[in-house]
Amino acid sequence: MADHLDSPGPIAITVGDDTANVGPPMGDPKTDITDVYAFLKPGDPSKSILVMNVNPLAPALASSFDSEAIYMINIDTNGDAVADRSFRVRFSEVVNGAQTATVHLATGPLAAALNDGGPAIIAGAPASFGPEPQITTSGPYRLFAGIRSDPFFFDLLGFIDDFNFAHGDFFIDKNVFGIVLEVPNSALGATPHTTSLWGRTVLTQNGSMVRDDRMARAAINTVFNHGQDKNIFNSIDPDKDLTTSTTEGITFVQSFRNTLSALGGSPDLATVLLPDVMNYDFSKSSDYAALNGRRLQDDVIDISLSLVTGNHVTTDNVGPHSDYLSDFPYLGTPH
Amino acid sequence: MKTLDRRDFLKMAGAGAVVVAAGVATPVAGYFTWSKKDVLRFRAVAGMPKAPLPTYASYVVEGQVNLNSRTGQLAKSVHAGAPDAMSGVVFPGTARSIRVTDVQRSGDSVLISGEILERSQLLRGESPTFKIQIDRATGVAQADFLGSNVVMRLDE
Repeated sequence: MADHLDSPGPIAITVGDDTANVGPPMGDPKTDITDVYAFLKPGDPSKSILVMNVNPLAPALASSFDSEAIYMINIDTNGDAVADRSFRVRFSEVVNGAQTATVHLATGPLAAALNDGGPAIIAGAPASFGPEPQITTSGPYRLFAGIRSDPFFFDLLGFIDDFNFAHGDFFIDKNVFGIVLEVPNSALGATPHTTSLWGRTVLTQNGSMVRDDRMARAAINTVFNHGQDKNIFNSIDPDKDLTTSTTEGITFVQSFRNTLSALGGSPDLATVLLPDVMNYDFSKSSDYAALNGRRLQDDVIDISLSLVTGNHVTTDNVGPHSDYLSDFPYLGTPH
Repeated sequence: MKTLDRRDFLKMAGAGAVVVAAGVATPVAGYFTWSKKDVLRFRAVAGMPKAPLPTYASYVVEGQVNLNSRTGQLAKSVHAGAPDAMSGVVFPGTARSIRVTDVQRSGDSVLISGEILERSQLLRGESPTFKIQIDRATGVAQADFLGSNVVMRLDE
């Protein structure tokens, strides 16, 4: 899976011998990032579509966005894995079944800090909790936020069945909460060749901002990090990926090298996968296979399987969904 | 907040979409006990997938059988999270009720056979029948998972 149901999503907090909790402050599906996408707007390459999906299996686990959280799409413009620009989405509390979103664009040092600062580029945008997408346009920006069909495709049961990919697409009838932004490429900076991005969710805990989940390329945390290391990985920003240690006392880079070797892949791939950012050169066409952005239809699992197993496993035998929309918000109608 | 018992929980999980809230009782460790004479209660748990991949989910088989009457009832499901951090979220479509059709005991080993009650919901590769071999001496069980044999922990 991309990052569905992995830490810090529905992780259990065991109490006593027989109880598991799912819920805030950590482990909130509302801030569990499932996938991040970035691609040129079809028909208008002067604009980009940025997507961060959260809340796997929606609305079964959660039916709204977290009004205490900040949903960020961070942009690094100079290749140092530090955010230079950041789109921050905050949601109001649910009132009479409705929520509204405000989007801020932080730039410069403000973008690298945990806050919701920066000028508002969209305000009062209604979230969509039904099949009809409510789209808000403000100047060159557009926003959709709400429940949609999960665009991700993967034989999840085949994955846990030790790569016995014979069980079909687990996500074919699942939903997520999507945050879809249409932005002018100029809002991403002026250096497309060194631009990358990642999704980040931040929670408020005891008056402080706490890093919750993060994601760029598909399934990195899920496939490479074990146990508590998943939470460590989520708690650091990409610029710390090369130097931070796991609970075993080795760096994440070495841990990734070990896993890649065990799976039959090249250990040198570790320093391609880390720092965990998604390269996004918006002067070129978007294609996950070319390590440039990610479109909804890109078969990230097949690409990843081939890479990490050294082509021993090349497919999970499922393909893109047929419900993607040709226009904004691109995510299909919820099931 | 209302706390569901296991029976209610699995009934809800089996219905399709899974709704789990804080306080739902879920298994967190395997066990194996004899309650009364010839009545075996157990819970077997396996982390999936196997190393070198990180454990992402937990396969749980649990229930109770009567060795005299060779009857009983089991349940199986796949939970998000590793066994030591198992969540209350059951992967949709994986919860099953199993009617026990036979129980064979040989020393410390018990072989339980059954049939899935939700015949119309079978996943690709999932058999309508089910077997689990429990070995009390080693604390290990082996059960079918969508056609594959899975070794499961069975702590006493």
